[in-house]
Amino acid sequence: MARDTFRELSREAVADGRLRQALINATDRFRGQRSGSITDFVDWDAMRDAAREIKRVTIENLDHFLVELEGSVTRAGGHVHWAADSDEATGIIKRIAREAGVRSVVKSKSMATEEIELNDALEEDGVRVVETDLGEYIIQLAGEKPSHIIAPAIHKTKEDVSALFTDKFGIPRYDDPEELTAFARSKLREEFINADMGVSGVNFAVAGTGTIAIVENEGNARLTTTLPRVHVALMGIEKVIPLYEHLPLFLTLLIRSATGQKLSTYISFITGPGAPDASGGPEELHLVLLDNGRSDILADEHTRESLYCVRCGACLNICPVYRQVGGHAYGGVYSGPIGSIISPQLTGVSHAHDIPFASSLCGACRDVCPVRIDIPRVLLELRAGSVEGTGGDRGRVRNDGGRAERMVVRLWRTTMQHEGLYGMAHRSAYYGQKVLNYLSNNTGLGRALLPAGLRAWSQKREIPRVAEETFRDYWKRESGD
Amino acid sequence: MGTRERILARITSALGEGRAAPQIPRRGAIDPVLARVGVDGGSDADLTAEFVAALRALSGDAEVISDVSRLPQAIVSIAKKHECGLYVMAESPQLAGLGIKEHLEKAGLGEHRDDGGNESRAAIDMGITGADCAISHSGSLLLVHSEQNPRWVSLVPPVHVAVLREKDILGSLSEAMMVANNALTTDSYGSNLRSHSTIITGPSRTADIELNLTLGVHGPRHVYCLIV
Repeated sequence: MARDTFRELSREAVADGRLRQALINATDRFRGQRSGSITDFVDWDAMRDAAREIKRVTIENLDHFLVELEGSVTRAGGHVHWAADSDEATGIIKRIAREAGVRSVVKSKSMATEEIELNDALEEDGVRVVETDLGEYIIQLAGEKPSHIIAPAIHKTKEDVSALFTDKFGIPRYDDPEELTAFARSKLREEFINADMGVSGVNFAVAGTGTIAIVENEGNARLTTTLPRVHVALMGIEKVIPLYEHLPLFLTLLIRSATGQKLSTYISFITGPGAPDASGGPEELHLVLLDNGRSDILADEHTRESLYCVRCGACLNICPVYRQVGGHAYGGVYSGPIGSIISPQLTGVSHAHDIPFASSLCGACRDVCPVRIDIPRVLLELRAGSVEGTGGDRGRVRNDGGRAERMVVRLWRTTMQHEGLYGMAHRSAYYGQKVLNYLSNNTGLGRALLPAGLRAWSQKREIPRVAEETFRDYWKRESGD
Repeated sequence: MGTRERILARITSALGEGRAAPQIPRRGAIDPVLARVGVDGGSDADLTAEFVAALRALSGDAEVISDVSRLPQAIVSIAKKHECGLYVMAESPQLAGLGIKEHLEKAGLGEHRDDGGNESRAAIDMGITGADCAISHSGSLLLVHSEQNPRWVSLVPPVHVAVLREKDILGSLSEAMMVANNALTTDSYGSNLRSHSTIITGPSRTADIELNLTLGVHGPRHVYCLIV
């Protein structure tokens, strides 16, 4: 993968005025809804603390809770499968489809299924896969990737969608989102009715009861997990929570952080498969537990809290970087602040090496995270790992700024450690600034002497005044005599 | 060593052996943290009014039917309003012994005969269920599913009518989830399929196209709650 991918992709994104406006509209809206919603609670921060503590205990005993989850799901009549990586996960799901004679699959929204590129894998086996979340359906038709985790097609205008439907289905151009949605509804209804298998994600999986909780607004996840005779639920191993009674806290934090709703339109609690004759739902339930790098994140206690994430998207909506560039610039499934820490760790720092640097470390993400992940701190850990070559792929790639940057850092370090050199550097800066100030006040030359990058930067900023003497000189003078 | 053992071994070695048993925060510690501003457990009448207002704010509708003998007629009115021809009704306790089916038949509606197939279910206009409880401040309904109250009845038809007993309107998500949790562990419905529940908060919706709110995407477009 090319160096500076984020820089190149974000440059393209920033140049796309329409994309930026769509992102700003969407993130402003979600951010406003979230902040209006959390004031309903006496102590929202205490809720975040409680959730973080539950996540901490869970993640620090992940083996125990995964085994408990497996037992509970199995007792409820479901099957549990373990997948070390993408290939194993797609292999398992393809096998389930083959053994059940599945020809067509409907899918509800799941980042994990995108992580393993499940659709492509199933289609290799001649299985038809249809995304049923309206936003995901639109981008599937368009052959694109999602630009936001809650609103994946936010970069598309209604005219874009109308043109897309006309192109794919030959229908007249509909102007109205209601008509477009009604059309999608009728098209997807046929798919739901005829599908053999439904694939969903998992918002939370309760170890104590084996219950899978799925949060949505459209109803497509309910249809996906009810109508077809086989249900496959894919989850990252970090999605487990210990007890049923933890659900109210996590559901409240997730939903209000994501969209500001009190509750999403539907929350499904699925424990085992349905009735044997399918009058109550699927005959078979398969839960696939996905590692795919999560146990590596677990192994590093400095970055372990990355696994607390509940995928609410609040950090995306508040991030000053994300709202300008959108999801595509991050080059992976997970974008925004959480993507900046997860992607490098799941794929190894060398593959997403510049992403931890794509942040001003403003900390807004940390302020909104419902489970209080200290994203800026983890970013610094990842940056250090990247520069020192001790990152995710264990030192095979060293990613610092190159020989020039290494030389500058060495020079700086030497100067700071030698009194004489430091004094010389100080005097140069002090007198140099005097000269520059004289030139810029009395001639047109001052700023023109600065390198090109600094010229633009200094147009609106003052360089702080260099002190007349160093602290050492001041101290000698004051206390010496 | 199979994948399961390998993954667990990686996790155990990442976390270290010989850990003490996990200390998990319990409901007693969590519920106080979920306290909402201005809520101190009002009278039941407040919960009903709050529920009705919340569901209406989401473009659903709710109505208190003080005389339960008027319930069947209320359902017929909804059916007529949406020109429903075919209905399906769950066997919920809230619906029993009220002559609902007779009223609907007299009004010219046909009852769906289920063949276990999804094709025929897609033609139904209205699904009628009970609701096991409700959450007042969000306008939500909790349905515990069973062979008598299958999941698809409140999902596939475009109109969903739920009959709720007023005493079952609760003040918090936490309380509602206790009802669902109890259903997982007790046999109060005489069926071994109480393994699923759904919380329904108004009609199906999306804002995926340019953030325009559109109702009735995949789930019902119209949600009515009749409170008895």
